[in-house]
Formats: sequence, structure tokens, C-alpha cells
Amino acid sequence: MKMLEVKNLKKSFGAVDVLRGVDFSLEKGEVLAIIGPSGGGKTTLLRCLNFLETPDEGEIWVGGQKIFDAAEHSDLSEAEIRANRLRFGLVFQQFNLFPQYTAKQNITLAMQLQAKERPDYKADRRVILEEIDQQANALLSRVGLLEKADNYPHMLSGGQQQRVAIARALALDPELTGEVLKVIRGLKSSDSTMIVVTHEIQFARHVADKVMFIDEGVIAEYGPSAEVIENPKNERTRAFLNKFEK
Amino acid sequence: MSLFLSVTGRLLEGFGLTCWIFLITLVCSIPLGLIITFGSMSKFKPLRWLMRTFVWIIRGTPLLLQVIIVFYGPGLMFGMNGVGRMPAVLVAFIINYSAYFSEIFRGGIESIPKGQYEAGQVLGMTKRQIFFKVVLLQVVKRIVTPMGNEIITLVKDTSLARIIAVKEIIMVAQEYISAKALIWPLFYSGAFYLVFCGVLTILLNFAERKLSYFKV
Repeated sequence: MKMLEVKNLKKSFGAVDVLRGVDFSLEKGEVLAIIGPSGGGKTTLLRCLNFLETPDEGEIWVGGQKIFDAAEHSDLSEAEIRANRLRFGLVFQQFNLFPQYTAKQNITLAMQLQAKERPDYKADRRVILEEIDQQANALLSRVGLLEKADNYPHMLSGGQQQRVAIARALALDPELTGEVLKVIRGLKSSDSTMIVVTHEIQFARHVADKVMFIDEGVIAEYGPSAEVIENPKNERTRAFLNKFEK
Repeated sequence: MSLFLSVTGRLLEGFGLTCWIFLITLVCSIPLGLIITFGSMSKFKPLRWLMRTFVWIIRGTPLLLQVIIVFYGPGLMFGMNGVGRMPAVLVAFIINYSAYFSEIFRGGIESIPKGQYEAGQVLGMTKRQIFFKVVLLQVVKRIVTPMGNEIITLVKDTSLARIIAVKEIIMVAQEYISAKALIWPLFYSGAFYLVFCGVLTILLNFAERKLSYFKV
């Protein structure tokens, strides 16, 4: 089953065409690593998938359902965009943890705000908040940071901050935790669909099912990771990989 | 000795008025400043223009002049009955300080990294939630120091009220010069400001310490 399908995605900032027609699809459970030179459009692609940027052209399908069509985008309300965003979790390069909240509060904040919209929130407030707290504890222990639950981001190392950011992104879909962690640790996983932007070619080689090489706003090469990394067909991919091996 | 006590009493009366001008200006100009901030950051260009022009005019002219204009202006221009002295002072001060505050707020809000907004967005938060739950406290932390500066300046700016004969502490002290040829009450009035600003400094330091549990 196709989990994610991206069709002819285009995005430009002023006169700069950052994405010039990106097409790809991912099966459920596949892990995709995106590699490529800086400024090639990797991050913009991820940002488009999270609707942090609005694509100028193209469609995004999730689980066989069209969730975005540039031609109809103006019809989407803010609430619909918010709902679409929740189909994706995103861990930022800079983590972007909220500095005034502890590790645990970073995880629970969005859950609590969403719980408030539940019709039974007023009646079952205590139970719901207790559940959220338990979930946050579970997430923290899975990323190995339960004892840092009450620490503020500035007290955590970069790696610890990243793990909190991962836990936070997963908080809205906790079943995925184990799978994502396997990926982060460099183990293969099977169930969750993931996109990783990375500069570590070996990481991509071992963890990803597919590798995408993006350069100058287009997919220069896309295929099974071993094939793309060990036997690149595109000249630019070859040049890029050579540079990394040296 | 009795002269010292009576001067102290008179100065205290004036100082009471000083405190009122200070307090009311502070309490009213913070929310008004925030509204001006939102206007000057609005995506709607005419509003943004209007607010930035307003700030330019208010910051570009002396507060002294603004007090005079608010007090005499309505009568001279429209033949209206003038406003009272104290209300005129308050209106001028509130407008003036809200313009300054609005720029401090704007700087604070714009200094928050875009990533903080985006992190809220990908977590499905609304704009409102992002502002109140994520951004606001970080802004407060960033502006405590410049706000402290402005608030302490306000304490001393209240002395401008004497230009339209509002009897704040400096005006009371000055009357001793003309009426009794005594200059020391004027020097003495400085001690009142000094103590007041000392207390404010302690409060501001307390606020800074309270917010030191996180880093932005």
C-alpha cells in the first residue's frame, strides 16, 4: 500500500526555484533517506510535507487520500491544515524544544492542548491528564531519558535534546516509538514510514530502504539504498558520493 | 527641625502624585503598547503604516510638548472645554509610554526564533496557543531588562507634569525656592526618587531571577 505519494511538487522563493517538480512514493513501512548537496531542496521538501511551506504546485497523498492539492489549497481552513500536519511528525535539525518547559512538559504540552478539545475533558480531566503523564513517562523511558524528565532543555546535551524532540514528535502517535528508535539507532524497522534527511551516507546505507538524491530542486536519483549508494547511475550523485568518501 | 518635617510632609504629598502618575501610566500603557505592537506587526499594510507613523511621531517629539498639546490642544483647536490637568498628564504619558513599550515588545517578539513557531505548528497548535503557550514567556524574559530601563525612566519623567502645574514632588520643591528662597528641598526631593528606583530595581532583579530557570 502506498503510504505517501508526492506528485509534481514545486516550490519557489521569489525567483529561486527550490523544488522543480518532485515525484515519489513510499510504501508503508519504508524508510527513505534524502541526501544531496546543501541548498538542493532537501529541507524544503520536508517542510512542504509538514505544510511549513505551501507548495506552489503539486499534490500530496497520504494513505490513498489526497490531503493537499496546490490548485485547491486556498480552500483549506487553518483547522484543516492543522489536522493535515498531524499526519506527519517532524524532528527539526535544531530540535526547537520549548526552553521554558521541562523535557516532560515539552512532550505533554501538545497532548494537553488537544485533550482540551475532547468533549469529555471537563468531566474526566484528572484521568486524562494522568494518562498523558503516563504516556510522557513511557516515551521518556523509551528514549532513555526518564531521569531527565524535569530538566529544562538548556540542561540537556545535544543528543539528549534530540531524543526529547523525537519523543515530542511521537507523542501524538506513541505506538511508533519503538520503530523510530530502531531507525535512530541504525537498526532496520518494518512498520513505520519515515523520511530522514542526512549527510551520513553510511547511516542512509544501513537504515534506509530507499535513498533519494536531490540536487537543484529535482530528484536526480531514487531507488533502493544499496543500489543508489554503491552503484549510482547519475553523474552528480557519483560526484557527491565520491566527495563524501574521501 | 520642624521646617524639615513640614518640608518632608509637603514633599511626600507631591511624591504621592508622582507615584500615581507612574502607576497609572505603567498599568495602562503596557496593554495599549501590546495592541500597538500587534498593529505595527500586522500583515495589513495600512494599519502597519499607521502604527509605525504614530510611533515615529510620539517618539520623535518631546513628552513635555505632548503634555502641553493634550492639555491646551482641545481648547485651542476645537474650542472645547479643556481636560483636567491630571487627566491630560495621564493621557499624554500613557500614549507616550505605550509607543516606547510597543517597540520593546516588537523587538522581543521578533527575536523569538522562527523554529519555535514551527515546532508549535507541527504539533498541531493554533496560532493563539503558540503565542500564549510558547512565545509569550520567552518574550517576557527577553524584555525584562529593557523594560526595566524604561520603567525607571518613567519614574523621573513624571516630573514633566509640572509644566501644566500638576503638583508633583519637583514642583512642590521648586515652590520653596520662589516662596522661601530655600533650595535644599529640591535636592532633598532627589532622595525620594532614589529610594523609589531602588525598590523598583530590587523588584526587577527579582523578576529576572524568577525567569532564570530557563535560557532563551
